[in-house]
Amino acid sequence: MKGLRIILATCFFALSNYALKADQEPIKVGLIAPMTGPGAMMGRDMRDGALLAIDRFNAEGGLNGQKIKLIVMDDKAQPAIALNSAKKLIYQDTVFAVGTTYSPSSIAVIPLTKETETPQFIAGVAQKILEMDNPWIYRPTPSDSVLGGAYVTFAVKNLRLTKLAILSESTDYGKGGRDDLIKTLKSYNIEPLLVESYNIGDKDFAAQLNKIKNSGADGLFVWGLYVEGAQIVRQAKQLGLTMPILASSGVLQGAFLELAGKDAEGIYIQNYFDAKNPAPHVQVFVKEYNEKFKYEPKPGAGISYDAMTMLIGALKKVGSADKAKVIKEIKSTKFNGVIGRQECDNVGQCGRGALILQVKNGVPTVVWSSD
Amino acid sequence: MSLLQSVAAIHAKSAMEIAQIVQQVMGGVSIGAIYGLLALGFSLMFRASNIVHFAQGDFFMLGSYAAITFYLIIGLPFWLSVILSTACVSLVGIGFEKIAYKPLWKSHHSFILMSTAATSIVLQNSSSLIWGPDAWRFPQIFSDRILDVFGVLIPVEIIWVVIGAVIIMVVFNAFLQKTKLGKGFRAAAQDREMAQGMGVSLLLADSFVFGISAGLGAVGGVLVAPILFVTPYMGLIFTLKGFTAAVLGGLGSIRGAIVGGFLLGVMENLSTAFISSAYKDAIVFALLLLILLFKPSGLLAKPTAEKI
Repeated sequence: MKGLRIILATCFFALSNYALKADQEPIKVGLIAPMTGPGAMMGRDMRDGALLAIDRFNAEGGLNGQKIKLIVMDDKAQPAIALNSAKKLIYQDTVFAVGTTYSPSSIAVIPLTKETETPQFIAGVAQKILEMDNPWIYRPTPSDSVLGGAYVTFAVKNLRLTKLAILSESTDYGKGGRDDLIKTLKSYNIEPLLVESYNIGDKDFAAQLNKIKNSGADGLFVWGLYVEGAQIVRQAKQLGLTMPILASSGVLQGAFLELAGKDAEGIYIQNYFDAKNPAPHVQVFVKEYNEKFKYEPKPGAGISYDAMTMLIGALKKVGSADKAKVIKEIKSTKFNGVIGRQECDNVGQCGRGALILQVKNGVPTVVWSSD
Repeated sequence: MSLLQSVAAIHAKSAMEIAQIVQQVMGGVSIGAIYGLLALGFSLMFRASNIVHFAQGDFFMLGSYAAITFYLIIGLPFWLSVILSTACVSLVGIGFEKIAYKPLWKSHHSFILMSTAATSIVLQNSSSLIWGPDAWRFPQIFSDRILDVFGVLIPVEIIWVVIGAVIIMVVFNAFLQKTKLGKGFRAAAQDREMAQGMGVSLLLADSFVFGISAGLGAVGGVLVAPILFVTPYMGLIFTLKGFTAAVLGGLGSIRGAIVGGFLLGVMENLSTAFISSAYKDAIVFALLLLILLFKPSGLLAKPTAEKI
């Protein structure tokens, strides 16, 4: 009888202890990403990359039992919806940190995280983000100037191109990329031969491509996203453009290679993440991601994974969910992430890596690396 | 000798420039054929029921997805897929007429207008759920050869799309103008009561208008599926461009829609070639505003008295 009592008491304590832990409020992290609409693939990648890091952290016991809970909000890639989502996350859900995906959405949310002193991680690479003077942001994605600078160097030094044309999307992303390319080209005393643009959602690029073909350009930078990027590459082949095409990292998102098919052969793509990167820590990530989600991780997954790894690392080091201490810790860490070297400067730019891939036999192969 | 050489050089140069202009015009014609098909749907709908149908581009998108389903997923022959896709999307169009528009028939126009916008949202999001958010690539149907005509490059697949679009336009026009059924529907569009008195079934005529305009969108979507990538949200841009083309030619005019489509395509390409791609849409939409201000009946339509 006594034995039973002891067992019951033990059970009670065990359960109450468990209940106490379960009751402990989780550390909430909001992710604002397009989950529907043309950017839905990017949103899925961002969510799954973050989940991989978070689930591992939770399975390992969290921060003294306190777990991280990811709350995903769909902004349909629209800044107004992103801002409303951020307000809901910060005021209603009282999140510890928020993440934003595309540049326009990120720019819309930045003033709010500054005002409410909420850490914000950002995937969008527009230059403007760093000029908004918000000490609470950190960006694991290599900036446009890091990438653009490396790309121009590669085009001018390695490929020896001098007459370069630029075709960019008319968004913050495309314009930012275009401006960075022009700026770096200037440092080599090169003026772009031709600068053309298109709108997101456009389906026909024959007019721009014909103009570029006739200009006598010996290289073409394409700065945009994957559906348009694939159509541009395809039409360029049809219209007989033979110069090297150098595409931005946005182009490799989603199903670019399946869409562009054999027309993608030989084009250059800039990137910072590649699932076939032989580096061991990248391969561990790719394997775990594949097992958990049953598809290959794309750069978006790498960004949110590194962002969460940085956040988790800082939480562990600080030992409590103290926003100010955690963001300070994030900004002083240096580590090798799956999307390259992470080392934050005072404006919040952390990503430093750049890879240049070339599509060979349908597979993007690393031909140049900044490290 | 040197004179001869320089004359030859000038000739070669101007020949090249002409080739470049022709190349741009050809590009405009090919995308214009697609705009024309969409404009046709807009004009038909506007003429028959005074509705600007904001889901026109989404029926176009649905046509592409139907083709993917029948051809790529089920594996039917292409010609059968074209017919089945068009028929299915027409039925969806008729369904929306019965569910979403018919109950609103007697209320203000703006309600129906909103209902068409809602239809567009429903179609986009259901397509995203059914076929996934990612873009689909349709297999190569037409030859991937590229013709070189005096320095002007024309992909063979584009020629097929243009021919297909023109055939549809011609057959459709002939149906409306020449057949008894077509005449009856035109009569119903002009005066519902009178047409009914003359024995035209309004029930049938309404279904016809919605079915055909959805079908027109769909067949366009099937045609371009092999040359574009299919996404759930591709309808929006085609709604916009198709509407612009329809207004350009005169909203409600069948011939105007066709001419408007080609005109819009060519204008877009030439403004990119000679001004700037950054201002391509701005120029086209500015022109649309001018036409709405100074010739609201469109470039081709005869001025008509306001319907009372």
